[in-house]
Amino acid sequence: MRVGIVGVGWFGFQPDVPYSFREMMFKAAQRAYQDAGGLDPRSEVDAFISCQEDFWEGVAISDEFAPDPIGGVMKAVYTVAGDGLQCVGQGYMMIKSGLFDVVVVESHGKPSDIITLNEIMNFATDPISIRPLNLENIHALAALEARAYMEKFGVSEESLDAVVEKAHKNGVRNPRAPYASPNVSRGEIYVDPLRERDIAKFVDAALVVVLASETVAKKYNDTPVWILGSWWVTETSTFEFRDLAFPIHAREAADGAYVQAKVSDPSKELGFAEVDNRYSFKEIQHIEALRLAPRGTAAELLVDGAFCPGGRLPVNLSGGALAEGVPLEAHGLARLTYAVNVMRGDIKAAVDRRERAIVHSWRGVPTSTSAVVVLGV
Amino acid sequence: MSRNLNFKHRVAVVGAGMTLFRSKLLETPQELAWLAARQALDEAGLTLKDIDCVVIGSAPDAFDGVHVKG
Repeated sequence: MRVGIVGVGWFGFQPDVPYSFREMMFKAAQRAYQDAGGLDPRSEVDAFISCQEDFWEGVAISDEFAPDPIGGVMKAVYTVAGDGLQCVGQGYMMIKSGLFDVVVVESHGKPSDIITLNEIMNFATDPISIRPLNLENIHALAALEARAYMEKFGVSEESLDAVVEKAHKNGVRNPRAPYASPNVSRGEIYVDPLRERDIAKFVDAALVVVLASETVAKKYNDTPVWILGSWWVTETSTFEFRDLAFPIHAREAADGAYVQAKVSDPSKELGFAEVDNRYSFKEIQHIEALRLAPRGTAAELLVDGAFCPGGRLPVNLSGGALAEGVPLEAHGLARLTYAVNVMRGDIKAAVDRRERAIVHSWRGVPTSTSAVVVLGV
Repeated sequence: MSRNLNFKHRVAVVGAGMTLFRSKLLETPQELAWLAARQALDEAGLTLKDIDCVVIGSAPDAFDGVHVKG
């Protein structure tokens, strides 16, 4: 039993959307249901899943707000405290189990509502070992990882220049990338070695994806994109115990998805990738973690254009988070829906092979969670 | 829509664990979770290597004062 993506919808991707998060959810859901052949959420959907976090929402038990805007009242709805791609994994399992035929996945982020973002992110650090440090700039944790990685593999600042340049050049062709502005330097040092434009900005957005079993998928969409593998991994919560130089969580998540998708040589079998680049160096790290290039080689390959549009394996044709922004937990669905649009041919991207792709999301500092989905048409 | 309520595969609970229910326990939430998990694994005769997937349910983040607790 295969699981297909039969509808995608998004709303927002503006720094400050003048609608409530509930209106944003409604609009994204409406578009996804339209994309799924005018699916009626009240009669044709078996279950709904929403990915969100109470602290981002500013609401305790924010789960209770999930059903209304997406048509899920009085139906099977639950919330996953994680990235949208983890929700896709839940829906994938539900359909694979044979219990459900149509599952809707939703995620949204409205960071413009959050006045104290740094403090909220500090609340995600270990309450005993790190939170008492009261980090004034939470990006410092990413900077430690950047320094460890760059030192270990001899990655230069020129490689980060290349990542940022590629992201913004790709972003200008992406209609939902408000931060895309090519030919601008990486700016001043923000937290060494990261400069201003090495760090993705936040953005308001909501995304909805409709999943369906193979039995009913064609009823909603002539060109479903199949989920061939879906896996996610979280490392230890203790920051100090992690390998700061390499995201093992991304490697493990990818390996799980590759086994499911029967992919043995990802760098040759996949046509393109959408990966998390909320920090420029993360794109290079994640390319290696997802086995799209051997460890320690991605920076050089990237500078040579291997991951550019038309290159050997284009990475982040959308520009990724650096161009689109990070819509909090909805980021994974942003990567996923862009890949779906490319695979269906809705977006004319410079990619030779669009039959198989990998989508990856990380949950940002201070987390060590990665989710990966392998797609096929 | 055809929710299959006549699903044939059965799912069993093969082990369970539980800490004391007490106010102001000295253990951290992580330590409490470990104690309960250890009991459940022991009762099932399993080790961590036997586990494919972990599902965690707990109080909402705002009640625990920890963001991104999952």
